[in-house]
Amino acid sequence: MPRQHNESQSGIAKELVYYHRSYRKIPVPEKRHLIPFLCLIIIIEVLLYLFSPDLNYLVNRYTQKILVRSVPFENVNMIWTEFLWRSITVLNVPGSYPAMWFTMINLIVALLIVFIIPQTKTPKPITVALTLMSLIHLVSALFFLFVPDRFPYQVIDFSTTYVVMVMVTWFLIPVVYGFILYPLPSSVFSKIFMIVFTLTFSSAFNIFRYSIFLYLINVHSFIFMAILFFCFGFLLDMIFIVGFYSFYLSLLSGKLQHDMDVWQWLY
Amino acid sequence: MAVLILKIYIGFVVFVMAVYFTRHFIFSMNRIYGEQRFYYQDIFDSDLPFLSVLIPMHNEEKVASHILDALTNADYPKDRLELIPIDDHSSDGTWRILDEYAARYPFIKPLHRTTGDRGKQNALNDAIRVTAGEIILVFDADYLPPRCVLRDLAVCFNDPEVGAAMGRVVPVNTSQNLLTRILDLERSGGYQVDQQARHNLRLVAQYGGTVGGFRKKLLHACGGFDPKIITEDTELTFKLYVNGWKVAYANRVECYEEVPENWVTRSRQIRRWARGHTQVMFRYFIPVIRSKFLSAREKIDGILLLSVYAVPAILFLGIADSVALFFLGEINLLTGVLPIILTVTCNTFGNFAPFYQIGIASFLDGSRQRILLLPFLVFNFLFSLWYTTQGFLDAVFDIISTRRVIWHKTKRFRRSTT
Repeated sequence: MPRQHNESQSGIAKELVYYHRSYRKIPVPEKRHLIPFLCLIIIIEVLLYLFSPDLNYLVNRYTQKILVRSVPFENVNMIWTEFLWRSITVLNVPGSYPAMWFTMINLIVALLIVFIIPQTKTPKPITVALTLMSLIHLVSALFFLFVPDRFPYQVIDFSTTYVVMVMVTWFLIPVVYGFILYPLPSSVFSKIFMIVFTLTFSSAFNIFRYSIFLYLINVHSFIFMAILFFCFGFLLDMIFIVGFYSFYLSLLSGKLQHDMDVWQWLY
Repeated sequence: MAVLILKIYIGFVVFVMAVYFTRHFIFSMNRIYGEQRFYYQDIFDSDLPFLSVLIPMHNEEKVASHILDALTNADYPKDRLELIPIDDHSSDGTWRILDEYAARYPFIKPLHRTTGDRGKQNALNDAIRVTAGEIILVFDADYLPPRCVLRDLAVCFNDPEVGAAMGRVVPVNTSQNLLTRILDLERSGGYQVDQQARHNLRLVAQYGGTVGGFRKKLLHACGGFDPKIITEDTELTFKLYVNGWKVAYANRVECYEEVPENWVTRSRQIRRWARGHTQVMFRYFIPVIRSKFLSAREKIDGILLLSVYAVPAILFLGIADSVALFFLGEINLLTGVLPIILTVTCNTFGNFAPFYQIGIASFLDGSRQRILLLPFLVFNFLFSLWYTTQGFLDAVFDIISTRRVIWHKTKRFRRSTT
């Protein structure tokens, strides 16, 4: 009887006690999985190359629909241009130069944020983010205060750059996810799903962002162009790319924690 | 001409970021797949040396008794151990606590410093003079060492190649707020992947100034800690490596620490680290390249490690450069190099350890919920960019002005005094 008791205890212990985290690792994915995965990434990239102009057109159409609620329809033009030997569409709206009083207000607000926010109890990361944004906006305000006629862009330049940035981001998503998801011990299907889901989200998100960008430049002048370009461009895309990755990894981590077949311990 | 210089600088920034991207990707892959290099505790388990454990303290009454309780409870033979808590110009009740413990435990020998300059490096220099052991271990006052940590750290010194040892630091107050959780992520990426991969790949593992130790004779041979350098740990790391010694990293030897619980304290801490690390970079950049003891890959990693706190300053200047180019009508250039900029930007998302490295570290650690906080690293990225750049500039002004460097202690947040 004592023997049985011990076995039972041993069984419980094996169920509860796991090896330490220090030196555990996961098996290298088999090479035979690499080629199909690479092929899938390449297929996604080819599909993106073939259909991104259509996807972009769709984004532009919806952006246009949103914009015409606040901008006269005849002022929102869809223009064709070239990117990577494909015809793509970009939206153009009339831009405006800021009035002197408006530039002054922006200058003062930017200065106030730079000098006053650090003195308040605003959390430091928010303070730093606001300060960095305000510094960029301060440069913009100073530019329009002193040499507005030398501002080198029209809305179409900004719009084209924005659309190119979005399309580059689309091309990058499968590559970045390919790099960071391939090592993980999960199914190829789930990884491809993540890529497709992120691309879909990016397309939907860009409708709203593009609308806001063009609205601000149309209604409130070129003075916002720099801050929009530097602060609300790819940095926001990175946040959702990292966000989806973290969600995926978190689910995977929960699923695999006690799977002794996945982990390898050397210690 | 000015525009050309600005464009070249953008190219330089992209190059630097790409180099670090590659480095961290290699580290991540090595840690998750590669053969893990053991630490020593499975190989040696006897023949323990006499240990002198130093605990620098400046106004540490909130935490002093905790670390002393933990270390008196250690499983290390007490006849081969001395604990030297250093009361470094404290104005609170630290000295009283130390004296009470000294009265109870004969192997606790407090050192009260009331003269000379304050600062960890100065305190260590003074304390080392009175140590009896050949092996010196150091713990910051807010640490909570587990029972086995002294034994585990000491065994590596049986290897004659090892000049210093470093354990893994794990935050104890992780659940306090968003900052402590983010710092927990950062520590995980820094130790579970970065340090362990460098240890695996026989690159430059770093002695971190706490949960670690070194040979006294080596420090004497190197002239002790330089009072002008505020990150004595980085200085010692490079002193050892350029002279042919190694730092053993022990991922298994975990020790709890208290991380800053507010952003103000964190900003001072990271600025101090950046300043000290950059001081070391200026001093050891050439010696690392010229050292006859370092292999080519150790030299490359050493240079990259030395320069790690310069990267945010380089990036910060790159952002300013991009803004200038934008207003000079060069948006097409920014669009042209966009794919490269965007790819390498991935590297900056997560301070010094990119998000995928931190993700892998947390995954290996068995975390689930804290992985969800990865997107919040964007706050840490901007925050670190700002304060690390300031620390870098501090170090530059230190060189130019030869001003006196003052060491600032990190504020403690411990609530319980039991």
